[in-house]
Amino acid sequence: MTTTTRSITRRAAEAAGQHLGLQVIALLAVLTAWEYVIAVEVSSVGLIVLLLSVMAVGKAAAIIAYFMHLPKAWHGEEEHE
Amino acid sequence: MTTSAVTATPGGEAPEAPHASHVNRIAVNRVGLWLFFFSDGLLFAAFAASRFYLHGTGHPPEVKQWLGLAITAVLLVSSLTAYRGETAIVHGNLRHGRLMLLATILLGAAFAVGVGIEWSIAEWAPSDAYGTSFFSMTGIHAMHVVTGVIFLIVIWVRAGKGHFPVGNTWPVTAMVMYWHFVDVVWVFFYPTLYLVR
Repeated sequence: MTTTTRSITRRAAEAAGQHLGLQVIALLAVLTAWEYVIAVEVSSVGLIVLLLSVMAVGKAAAIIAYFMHLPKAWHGEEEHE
Repeated sequence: MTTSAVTATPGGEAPEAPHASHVNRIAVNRVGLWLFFFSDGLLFAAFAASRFYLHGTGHPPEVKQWLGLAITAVLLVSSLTAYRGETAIVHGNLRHGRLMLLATILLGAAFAVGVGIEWSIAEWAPSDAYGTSFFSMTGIHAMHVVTGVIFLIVIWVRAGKGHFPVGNTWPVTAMVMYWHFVDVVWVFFYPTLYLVR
């Protein structure tokens, strides 16, 4: 692989990674907004706890899977999406 | 003892095992970091559990929802900038990577200031059931944030000196993973302290 080809491939991989980051933060923003709406609008304490718990787990899962690269926990390579 | 037995180096340091390649070291480092996250996560989980034990599901009406939402947004955005910074540096785009790390540092500092403001205007005493949980949880979390900011500054400076060429960026990845861990903790602390009622 030539230096130019390697550079282009690297930039494409970086762009894909940056795009993924924007998708994840959009998901986090939507879930956070929903958390706030649920806390304000829902009257049942049990339902609030249930919904907020599910949404918090969803947000944490997104961060752990995509930002923290959990699937690579058992691998040594540093390159990521 | 066979001839392939490992012997000590003249400096007295433990010699590197033949199979401990760079890739293996990164793998071990990565698993070790996850073990740290797990153990530290248990500490935060204990604090969150104590909040419900001491105060039930309610929270004082004086809780500043706007401030909680604001610092949550700041920390979530800082996770994005940290991720973008790491992605850029891993792919050799040092300039953009350092810019994003600097943004992360500033957002982390803003979050710490926000917690400080929250502490200064809090209308509940540390001795209250809710106050005990609130100051403990935000305090230990803010300590992690401040620690993260300090080490992000170290990484930012070292990146500027060219210490992280492509293929040797594990310190950046590890630091950013730690930052995301702090964010994950807040993902649970935010509803626990501000939203559940």
